[in-house]
Amino acid sequence: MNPDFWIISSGPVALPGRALNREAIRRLELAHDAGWNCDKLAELYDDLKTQIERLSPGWRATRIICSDGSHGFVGELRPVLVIMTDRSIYTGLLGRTPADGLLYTTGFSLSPSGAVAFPPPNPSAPGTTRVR
Amino acid sequence: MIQPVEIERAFDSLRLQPTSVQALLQPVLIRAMQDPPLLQGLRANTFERHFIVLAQLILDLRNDPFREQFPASGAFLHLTVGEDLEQPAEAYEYVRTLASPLRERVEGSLFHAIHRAALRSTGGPINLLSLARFLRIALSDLPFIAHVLSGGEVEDFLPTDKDLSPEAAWRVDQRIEPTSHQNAALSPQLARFLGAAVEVLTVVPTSSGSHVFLAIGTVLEISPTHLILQSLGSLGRAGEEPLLVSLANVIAVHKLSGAAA
Repeated sequence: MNPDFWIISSGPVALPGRALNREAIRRLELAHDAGWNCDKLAELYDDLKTQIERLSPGWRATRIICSDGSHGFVGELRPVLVIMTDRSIYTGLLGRTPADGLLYTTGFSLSPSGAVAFPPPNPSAPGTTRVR
Repeated sequence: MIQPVEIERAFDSLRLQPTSVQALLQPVLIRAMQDPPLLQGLRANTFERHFIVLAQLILDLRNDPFREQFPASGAFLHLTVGEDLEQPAEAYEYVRTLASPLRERVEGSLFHAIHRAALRSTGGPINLLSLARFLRIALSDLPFIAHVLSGGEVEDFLPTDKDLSPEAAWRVDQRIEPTSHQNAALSPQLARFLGAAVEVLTVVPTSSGSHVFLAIGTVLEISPTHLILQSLGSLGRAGEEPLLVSLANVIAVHKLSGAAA
């Protein structure tokens, strides 16, 4: 056997998505610290979350756009991750109004592309934590 | 064209549904918001009605009722005659542009919608083209839908402290990059790949079966659960971003260089 060729495992086995997401967020933090801009950070996390979705059928993060240019990812039901235009990164909740969520489902607006955008995030909402 | 407030109302209605239904349909609703052709194809005050029909079609997937052959164009259009359905010809043409197997899934659900008049008794015409666009969004994520409909757990989005091993927690607290020596849980066999140029052969399950991918790059990080590759590229993707690979999906790793960090 070639000593440089190691069989590690075979066959797909679902892994907990949230544990993999810990690693994805850590990569996001490192990219933030390296000075990546808001759009590039969002693309990085989008790429990593897509890979996690393939590995974990029960884990989902749906990307959203905000009218102020911030990027968001909505997880199962309420938890969200937001990358603001100033590169700050927050986790929080999806609420109905700014009073109860970092992202919220009132005040939608039509973007120039014809898509419907979320309103600007509210980092002061309860349950919000600054990651970076 | 619909107004944004209609989508807000759809969110409000969704909040009244059971948790499993919310988990199933919230991603579809969010993705539909970002589909201008879908939004522009709907008349004002019709978004929620179409979303309700879509929701019923998705929930009906539990019974797998879509065994019938999708009819030819003429037969399809005949089925819609006299029904309160708009743009059937456009819907037919749109569905035919989709790639397999998504096309067959959308065809099946669209056919089901035409047959089940009760689905559509929601107070107005249903635009079949918009419904087909809705179905394309929903059914492109069939692994998730199948997982939830079969009673599978919807995983928490954000990690918790218990998702961190003691070694990883220490590493994050100290902001220290891992090496094979600092991570005691890493076997010597795995540690030897750190920093090496490797070929990684993985199997990734998809809705149409498992696919094998080959990636070549430098191992930036490796743990008992995953590795992160600075990829030079793999089939079908550019190699600019680091690639997170689960070891559960790895078939083999072939070391191309003897260099180790």
